[in-house]
Parts: sequence; C-alpha cells; structure tokens
Amino acid sequence: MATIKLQGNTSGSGSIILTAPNTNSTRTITLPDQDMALGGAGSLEAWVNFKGTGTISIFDSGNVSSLTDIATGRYNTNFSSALASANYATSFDNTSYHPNNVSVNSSLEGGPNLGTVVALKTTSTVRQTVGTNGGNFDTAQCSVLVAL
Amino acid sequence: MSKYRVIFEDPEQPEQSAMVLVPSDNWLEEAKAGLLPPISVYWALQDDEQQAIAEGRHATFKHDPDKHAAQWKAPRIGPLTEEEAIEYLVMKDIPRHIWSQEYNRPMFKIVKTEEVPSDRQFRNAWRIAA
Repeated sequence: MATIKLQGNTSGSGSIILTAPNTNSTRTITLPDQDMALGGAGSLEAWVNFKGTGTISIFDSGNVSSLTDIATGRYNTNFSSALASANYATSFDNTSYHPNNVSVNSSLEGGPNLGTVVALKTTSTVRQTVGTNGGNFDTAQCSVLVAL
Repeated sequence: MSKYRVIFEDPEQPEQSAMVLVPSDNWLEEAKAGLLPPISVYWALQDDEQQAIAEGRHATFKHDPDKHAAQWKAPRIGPLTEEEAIEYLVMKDIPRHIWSQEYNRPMFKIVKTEEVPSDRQFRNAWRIAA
C-alpha cells in the first residue's frame, strides 16, 4: 500500500491546494517513477487537432468549443473558457503535403501592425493561417497549441 | 460528431465568403451534461476585452479575476439538447452583430453537416439565401 506524505518547506509557509475538476468526473494524476520538480512556467490552455480539407472537422481538442472555417487555409479556434489574458503563446502546425511539393506553413494571422493582430488573437479566439508562398492552402491535418 | 454546422456571413465584411462554425464534440458533451454557465458570463468577458481593444490597452489587458472565475463558479444552466447547445454556441462563438441584428437577408443558418458543400470552390461562392 502506497502512502501519501505532505512535506512543508522550511523556506516558506505557502499552502498546497488541489482543486477538483468542474465536472462530476474523478481524475487521476499518475506520477512518473522518478524525482522531479514541477515547472511554474504556465500551462497548456487549449489545443485542437483538426482536418482542414473539405468540410473541416475536429479530431480531438481541449478547451475548444468550436472552429470557424473562415476561408481556404484560415481557421479560428474558439476557446471553451476564455483565457485570463490575450498575451498567450501559440504554436500552429499542419501536414506538409502539397501537390507541387512546396512547403506549407502555419502561423498566427495578422498584418505587420500590432493592431491587426489584436482582433485575431483575443482571450476567446485565435486565427491560424495555413499556406504556401503561393497563397492559402487547406491541409489534411492542422493543430493549435495555446499556452499561458 | 455533431449533426450540425452553422453557416454565417459577416455584413461588415461583404467580400468575405460564407464561414462555417464547427462545434467541438467535447464541448457538446459538456453542454449536454449541463456544465455550461449562463451565456452572459462570456458576453461580459467579451465586452471588457472589446472595450480594451477600442481604448488601445489590449496589450496589457487582463480579465477581472472575478468575472473570469465566473466561467466556473457561476451556477450552471443545466443540460441542453444538441439543438439548444448549437444555439448557445452561436451566441458564444459568432460575433454578436451577426446574429443580434436584423438585416435584409439571413446572416446565419444552422444546417445539417451533410448540407455543407465540401468543395471549397463552390463554398467560396456561397451566399446565404432567404
């Protein structure tokens, strides 16, 4: 039988708080078999993996309520719960296949001015653009990671 | 997978082709399980952020902690049917001016998934009919 040991820190008097999920589910945290320290560098706030061709569809997601298919190679990821701040980091990816073997890239959509980006990267939604140097392009699989 | 998609146009961007809203299955499960807060919780957050954008202070904007926490702390609205969940999603994820105002033709429609043309060229030329 395993035991749970809570140990204070002599350098501080902070508390440990474990918060239950906001559903009726029971969630299990399984730790790896090694010593480690948890980082304090924020967390993954939302993610989605989806099909960007044809009628787009979501393979799986976390904290995502919907996608908006804006146009060829342009998609909004809409968050289930709004983030605390719009200064989050994003990572976009896509499958690289293109009929002419040119590279296909994903990025945060926005012009050269910060003001252009603002409306497309809010605490509720973020816009991804996928394309080649020849224009926007739909790819078979796209993903978005959002960390704050 | 949801039976529905939402097709919408933005009257403020007349050159933009019709857009398609695709619900997340995970979110739909939460909606059906009755785990959503009142829609007004999201509108309050959207209003605060839009005001920050309009006033040019979005770069340092952070939500009020109490309003942000209301997403989890506000009383739940109870289980929704899939149809009710889609209507809720329209009000949450589609810009408000598209569905809250009357225009001389419909700006959005909830349709069956199979009714959305998969051919992009066709869809780019789409307009929502009355």
